[in-house]
Amino acid sequence: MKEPASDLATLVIALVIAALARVDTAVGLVLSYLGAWALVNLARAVGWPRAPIAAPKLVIAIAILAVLLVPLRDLATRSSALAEHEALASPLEHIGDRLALESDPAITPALVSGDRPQTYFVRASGSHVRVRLGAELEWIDAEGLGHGVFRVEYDPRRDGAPPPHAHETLATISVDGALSTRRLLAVTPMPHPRWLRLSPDRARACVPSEETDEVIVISTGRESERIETLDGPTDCAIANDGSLYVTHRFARDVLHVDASRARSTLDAFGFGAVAIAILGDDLCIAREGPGSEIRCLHDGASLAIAGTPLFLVSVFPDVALVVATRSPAALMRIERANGALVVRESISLVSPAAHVSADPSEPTLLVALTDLDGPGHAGLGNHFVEDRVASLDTSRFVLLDDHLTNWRTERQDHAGDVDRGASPLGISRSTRGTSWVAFAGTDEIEEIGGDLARPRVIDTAALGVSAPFSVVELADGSLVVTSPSSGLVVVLDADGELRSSIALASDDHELLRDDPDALQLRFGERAFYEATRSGVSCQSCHLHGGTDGVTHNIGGRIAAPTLDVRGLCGTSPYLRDGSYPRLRDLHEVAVTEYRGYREPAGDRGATIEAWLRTLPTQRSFAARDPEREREGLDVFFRAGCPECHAPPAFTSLGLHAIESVFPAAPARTEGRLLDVPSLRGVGASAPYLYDARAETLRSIFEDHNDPDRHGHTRELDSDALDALVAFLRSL
Amino acid sequence: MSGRERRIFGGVAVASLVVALLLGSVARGTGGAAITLLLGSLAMSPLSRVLPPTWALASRTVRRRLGIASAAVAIGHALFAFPTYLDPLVLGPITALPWLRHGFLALGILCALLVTSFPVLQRALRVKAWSSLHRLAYVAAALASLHALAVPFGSIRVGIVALSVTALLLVARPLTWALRRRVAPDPE
Repeated sequence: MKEPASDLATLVIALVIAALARVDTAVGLVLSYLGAWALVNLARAVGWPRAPIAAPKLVIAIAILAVLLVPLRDLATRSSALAEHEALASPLEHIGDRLALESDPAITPALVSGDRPQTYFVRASGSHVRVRLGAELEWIDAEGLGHGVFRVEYDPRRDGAPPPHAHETLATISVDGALSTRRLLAVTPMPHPRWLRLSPDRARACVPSEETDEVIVISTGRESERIETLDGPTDCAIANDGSLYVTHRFARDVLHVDASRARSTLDAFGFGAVAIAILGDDLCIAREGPGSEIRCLHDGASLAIAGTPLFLVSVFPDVALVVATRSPAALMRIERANGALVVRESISLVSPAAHVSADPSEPTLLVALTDLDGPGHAGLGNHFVEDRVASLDTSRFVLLDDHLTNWRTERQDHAGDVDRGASPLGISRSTRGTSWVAFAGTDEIEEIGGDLARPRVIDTAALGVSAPFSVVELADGSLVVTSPSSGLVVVLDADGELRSSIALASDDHELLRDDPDALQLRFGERAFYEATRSGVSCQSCHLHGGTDGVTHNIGGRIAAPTLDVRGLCGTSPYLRDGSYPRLRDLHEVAVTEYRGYREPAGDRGATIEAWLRTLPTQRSFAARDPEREREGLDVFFRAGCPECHAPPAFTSLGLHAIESVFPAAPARTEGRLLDVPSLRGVGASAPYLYDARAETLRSIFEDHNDPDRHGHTRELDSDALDALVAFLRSL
Repeated sequence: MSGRERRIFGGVAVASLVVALLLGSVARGTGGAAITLLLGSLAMSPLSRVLPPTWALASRTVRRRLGIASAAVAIGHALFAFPTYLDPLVLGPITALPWLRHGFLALGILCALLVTSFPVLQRALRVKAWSSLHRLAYVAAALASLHALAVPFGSIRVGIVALSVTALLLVARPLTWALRRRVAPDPE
């Protein structure tokens, strides 16, 4: 046999072997070829074939093609499995993201959100860096941290905001006078009214819209008001005298608007106030970030708390506060004692509260949850989402009642599926002893409890109100409902009929006509909250568009802490094991793990991806010490951290085997992969590591890096570790 | 080897070393050099079709030597990189991680090609259709390129360039096939 004939024979036999062995890996293909090559050699060694095949070349070619037809078709059917196994499926996004991060200069995140201050990092070979995030924006001087890493603080109020509508913008980076441009996504979010708060007399309700710096006040018998606030209003409270108080994420002050609409401010002693409650004559706030605290503004009492505060309410009889936290998920009852705030009672939760509320006239705290490890419950929070509402006695701080909210109607056509009561969010007391709950997953509000034998349902989708967040009942029996994803606040009468609608943003029809991209984002946001047939939605674990901070086990993988979905833009691949190169492909999880959706819709994966890409990284509110940060960055480089957590995104977007970075990992992690997470916002994303084994940043290095393979930190002294942790918190 | 061949071989070797130095570390440098040498080796086949006959003969000699050098440097790369990244007793990641699996598979192929590149060993192994086996050099180049593309420690640009060159060579191979009769038979 001549060489070309040997080559051809080897190839044909290899393909037949690969087809027969149902090969779908590169190793399998190579082994098939080697097997074929061995067979051909064996044939040549025994002198077979004895004579050349006496047939025209065309006939031989047709014969070979005929022989190959079946194996080739068979291999083609397994090509997608082969591509997936070899990490070759949809590689372009990952390559694009890595190229963007490796460019010089490089800037992250690749998003400009016109509603809030953001921190950018630039890696550049130079000493003086300036950045302009869009042609119409101001130049910003970057702060050098050393090792070619620069920090840029952008504030749209100071530096200008990008024009409305999502669009691509060109950021200009000046490195020692040399200009480069980088493509970023620019968005100006629409209004998002989220959590309603009632006045004590139920005559008024208020709701902030953090994206558009305003509070909407709805009153019985009066026109609604839109009140301009400071930067990033997060919560509001209405006092007995009609005064309105508003906390802000990006402003140091609490805004006070009295009954005559005169404005003043109160010093809140820092940024990042996320909730407010009136406690007697005082005003208390909850602040997030490293150093989370509860602080009362008049008497100055403060209390450091573990975790991130989500909600703060004053409870009956107006002598105590209850704060709900994430990481750890808990409810804490806080009282004043000798001029200080002290935690009197605390309850650990499996997952953090989706919402809490309390009627100041009742000793009851209402809690909406995605799971609860209460008396008589197995506490299966690592595996399941069990939407439920619970009530606690505010004095004894014990569970009074708790029930699952998911149920089904005749609309469902598969056993075990649910179509009501999914993703409970806003919960509040009615005037009749019942409770109202807004279910963002199933587009409805329900009245439950009291004497009701079964929930009373008001289908908000029929009213054009998608993914309702919050519901309260005013003194006249009317209901106020918010829908952030529609930019709507609606008032319903006692029968659930639409009485009035306060449209803070364009409706779907207007967006379709004027800004289809914005409509796509809106659909994506709704799909994020929409429940699958199993009752689980993205929101179930990525609570409030972020994370619930607990571990989950989806699809037989190891239990891993839920990642924050904010700031994902430009960090392909996704999921803990990097198994999805594109965000849109994660839609497969909803279909395969959670049985898909009841209602057909367009491309949910694409719309969710579009929306997620517009969520900015959470900003750190840690007090800054630039000199300490430089020391920390130096330690970061000395320890070899940039090998994987490379600036400016603080990830190289690489895949690692858990056991190669953490050789002491449990056997169940064998063969499991780990996508290097970005360290942006790491200070507020506890717990840490692949299975949430480290509760603090320092613990990562002190308790879980004995083999010294997760950075060379074994030889670092305490001061160097402090500097490293301070730097990480500043990200 | 003639003086001209030595110059070609030396030039490619120096270029590989420059690549190694530019890439910064021993592991990255040896990896980059191994791919460069392998692609250089593969490039000699189409070059031999278009170069003048005397150069064509030289390029074929150089092809074999570059291939041997590539396999040797790849083994060195594995010896440097393996203990840096992996616990010697933990081998699971080799099969679990696509980029590590691609690297090891490329190394395995290169080792097989290395063994069958010496006439003494060819005779000892009684291998006859050895050129069929050596077609796997293209597979090794593709796998090494994928390894370079996805390895999280270096620049993805190395992988992109390597993969592009591999694709170019795969396209060039049949295009230059028609020119095979222009040169004398392969001396090896």
